[in-house]
Order: sequence, then C-alpha cells, then structure tokens
Amino acid sequence: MKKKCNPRSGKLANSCAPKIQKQKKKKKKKKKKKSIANTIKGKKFSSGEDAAQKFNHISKGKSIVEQSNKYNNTETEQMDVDQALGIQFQEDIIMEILSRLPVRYLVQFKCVSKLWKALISDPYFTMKHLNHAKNGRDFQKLLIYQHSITENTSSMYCCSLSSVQLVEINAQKLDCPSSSTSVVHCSCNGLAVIRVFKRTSAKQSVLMLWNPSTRESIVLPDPEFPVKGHFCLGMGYDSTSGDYKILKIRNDIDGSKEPNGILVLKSGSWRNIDKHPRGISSQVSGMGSALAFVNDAFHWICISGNYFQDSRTYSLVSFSISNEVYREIPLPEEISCLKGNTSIGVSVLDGMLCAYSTYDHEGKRTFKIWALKDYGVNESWNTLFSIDDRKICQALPKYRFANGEVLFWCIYLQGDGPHSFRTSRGPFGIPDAIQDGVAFTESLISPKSLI
Amino acid sequence: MASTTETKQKKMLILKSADNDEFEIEESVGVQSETIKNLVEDGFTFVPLPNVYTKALIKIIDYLKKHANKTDSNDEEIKTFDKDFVNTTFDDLFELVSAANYLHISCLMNMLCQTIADRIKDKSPEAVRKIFHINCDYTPEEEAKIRKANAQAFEGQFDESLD
Repeated sequence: MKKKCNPRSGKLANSCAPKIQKQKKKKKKKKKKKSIANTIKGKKFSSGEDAAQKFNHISKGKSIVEQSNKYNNTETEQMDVDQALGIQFQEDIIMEILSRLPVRYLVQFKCVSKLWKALISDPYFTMKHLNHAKNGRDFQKLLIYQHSITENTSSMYCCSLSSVQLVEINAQKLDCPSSSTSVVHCSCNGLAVIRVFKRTSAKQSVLMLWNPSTRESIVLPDPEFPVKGHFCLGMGYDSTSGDYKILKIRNDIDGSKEPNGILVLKSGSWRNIDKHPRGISSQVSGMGSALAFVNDAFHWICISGNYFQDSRTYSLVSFSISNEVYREIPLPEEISCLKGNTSIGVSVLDGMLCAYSTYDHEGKRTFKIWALKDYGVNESWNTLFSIDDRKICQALPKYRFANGEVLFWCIYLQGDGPHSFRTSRGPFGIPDAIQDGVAFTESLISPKSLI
Repeated sequence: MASTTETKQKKMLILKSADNDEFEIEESVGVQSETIKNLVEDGFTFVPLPNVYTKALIKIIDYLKKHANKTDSNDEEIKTFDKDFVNTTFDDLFELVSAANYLHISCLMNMLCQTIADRIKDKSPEAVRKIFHINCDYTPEEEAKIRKANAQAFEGQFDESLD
C-alpha cells in the first residue's frame, strides 16, 4: 500500500505542517515531523481517488501536481486574511466536503471565491464528485418528459429518487436544449442522450447530449444512416481507451437491413459495426428504451426464428465497448420457456444486469425481473422482483431503491388507465401524461469536454 | 487478536498534541488512524502529532475509543455518540476535519465532511464565505457574471444563518 504514491496526499501531509505551525507561532521544533510526513506520503486517503486517478486523462494531460500548485498560489494570497482566524483549509479538504453536494449547490458555490470556482471546475473534482454520486442515493434522479401534441413541444422534468414514495410532486421543470418534441434515450454518468424531432417533419431528428443538472448540451454528429425508425441507444464509458461511446441498435422487427453504428465521441463521426455473427435480429423492448450498459459491454435481446410463432427463441447478446466483440449470455431458464404474449428486455438495476418480462402464466399476467448477481456466473440468475397485475400490458424497470422496491414504467392496455410510473405499492406520484423517463446519476461532467 | 492483547499486557501508545500535551491510549485504539498505524508498524510507541491541537485530540481520542469497542449490540449507542460528536460549531468541525485528515481516520473524515456538506447545503454564497472565513476575491462585475451564467441555480430562498 505504501508504494501506491498519491501526489495529493503527499503534498497534503507535507504542506499542512508548516502552515499550522506558522499560525500558532509555536517555538518548539518538532523533531519527528519529517518522519511523520514521510510516512504519510504515499498513503491514499479517500476511496474516490482511485477512480479519480483512473479518469485523469480527462484533464487533458495536465498533471495533478501542476494543478495543485496553481491553487496553492491562490491560497497563499488568501492565507494572510485567514490566518488571523486560525483556520486554513487545504483544497483537498474543501474538495472532500464539496464532492458530497448535489450539483445545483456547486453551481451556486462557484461564486464563493476564485479558488472554489477553480476547484469545482477541475476535471479531477468532477470525477471525485461522480464517484460519490454513484454511491449516493440522494444523487439518483429520474428524468421524465411530456409531449404536447397540439404544440409539437416537449417538457422535461427531473425528480428525486431518494425515497420510494414521492412525498409531494417535486418534479422540477428543466430548460430543455430544444423546445421541439424530444425523447430521452439513455443516460450515462449524468449525461442524457436525447432525440429532438425537427418541427418541419416528424421523420427527421437530431441527437443531443445533455447534462440536465448543469443544463449544458451539445448536438451530436449526424449518423450516416438516417435517424429514423425504431432504434435503441446505449451510452458507456470505455475505460480502456478513455472514451465515451454511443451504440445504436436498430429494432429490426420490420426487416430493415440498416447497419448498426457506434459513435466514439472524440472521433466526431459514426461508423458501422460488424453484424452479429449468427445474423439474428435485434428486438429491444419499448421505443427509445436504452441498451443495458454494465461490465464494459452493451446488452440487448435478440430473437431467432419467427417473432410471431412460438418457435422463436430469445438470446441475450452482449457487445464489448472496447474491442467490439459479440458474446451471448444464457437467459434464466424460466424466460427461455416463455410462450405466447410475452415481452422481454434487459436493463441495469443497482449495477446488476437484469432481464425482465411481462407474460401470461396460469391465468395471471406477471411482470418479473431476474438479476444476474455475479456477472459471468450464469448460475447466479435470481428473481429480483415480481408482481401480478392483469392490467399490465408491458413494464420497463427503471430504478431499484435501497429497500429492494423497484420503480417501473407501466404500459396498460387501452382503457385500463394512462401509462405511468409505479412500484409494487402503487403509483409513484408523478402526474399523468408523462411519456416515460430515464434514471440518471447527477454529475458535473460537461458534454463539451467529451468531444 | 484483541483477546490476546487483553490477556497479556495491553500495548500502550503516547500521543503528543501540538500544544505538547501527552495522552496515553491503547495501541488497538490508536491504530484506527492510518497515520498512527504506520508509525506503530515502524516501531514507534511515542507519537508526536504536530498538526493536532489538544482540544481536537481529546475529542478524537473519545471517538476512537468509542469506535474501537464497536459490536453488533451497541450500534444504536454509537449512532447517538456520533450525532452528539458532530453537533458543534463550524469552527470546531473544521478543526476536527483537519485533524482527521492528518490522522487519516477515514470513517471520521467521511462523517465530518458529510456533516459540513449537509449543513452548508442551503446557504447563500455570502453565508458560506463567512462560515469558511473566505474573503470574496471577485469584483462585483465578475460575481454578477457568474450568477448570470448560472441564473437557474440562484432561484429560490437561501439560508443566511451562520450555524
């Protein structure tokens, strides 16, 4: 452990000693000081730093040490004022505190001082904050949207997922990057991929990458293939190359032969990917639903055989984000046996790959979710959640709460009520007329920094 | 391991604060601090802590003692202790967090940072400056520009209190 040298901890241990001594004007020399400082040097303190270091490339080659020096200068200028009060905080501690705050507070606190603005804007801090956010229930949000058919516009709302039941309707209206009709496709590290339909024609659309927490957005490059028809998108971070990538898989029930494509954000253009070796078609449930990204791979369901016949078989396909290799993961046995009016999909809940299905069984209509508890261990499929409700036509899981309760988007048969978000306890409390949504983790990541 | 040290003689450490007060504690209590643990592994039994003042050190030793005796049954008791521990002024919390950072006690550091973060959440930038003893180094024009650029974050009511 001592060998894992962390420049930040090292600097901290060395720098704080003289500062405090100076403040209190201690006369006595501390003989052991050097040895303590040296011992601490190389020790890492927070669990967030590992990940932060992993993501260092995002700071575009600037070394952490250089950045620290930059702040130290600002800090020294301020020190004279603060010394009188006997409190001098290193930027390390300020970052530790601020990394626990939701994004909207950080945006406000940029105007506390130049140092705070520099800390909050630093890519190192962005990754540290994300690392906290991923593990914090308070940072999990649901991005929902609503279309106005008469005006051809959409409104976006954000609501907290910190409690199972919305205490009040706390959905906050967001400034959309575009007022045209928009659909949310997927999210990754606080960023949402949205599809905006041009006003002139419902067939033409553009893709945008949007951070709903900071309201920053960019228009993504146009795919070479037309952005129309039914397709699913997934976004993931490739830790091997340090790139964010977006994968587009056509939902080819209609027999289209369009190729699937991938966008490496930094490259600025889409390219086609190889076809699945067995040539099976992709069926991804629900228009606009996301590909499941977990364990450095995208996942979706493919069908072999005739979709309209019971001879069809489902496969769970994975596509590795770094080397673009297809694999197959056996589905839970129960799913493989399903016949009749069935819908099947995959998603990620609580970091686990999940398969779900709505199906008829012994006169009941059941919505059930299975989780692959240990990725790569096919025996570890377990039932995660199950509910019987004859009215449910189809359901898509969105989020799993700390107590195991699952939030899902429920599509009813006509006449059985409006589609809505609900849990096993009943409606989630979001008003009707919402058109689906995507769960995401708040982050400070700037879409502009990724291209 | 705890039982063997109990049956034998308990190993003791002496911690010396920045104001030269000395405190004797059990080694098993002290090694919850990574900084102390490293020194103990290097054979030290006398640990000078030039960055930790007596006032903070007394509180931290209390914390370490309480948490060293953590069992399944006293979970509630420790929760109450922790709640009281952080129920203090911002200046005290800052001193404790500096000490916890220097001593590398990650659970304490976590708790203190979370407490401070929770308590500054709804504060205005002005209140945060006062709490952290920061002088605003923006010109009024610069500050107005930042506020304008992030206007939606400044909607609603702020908490201007300093506690």
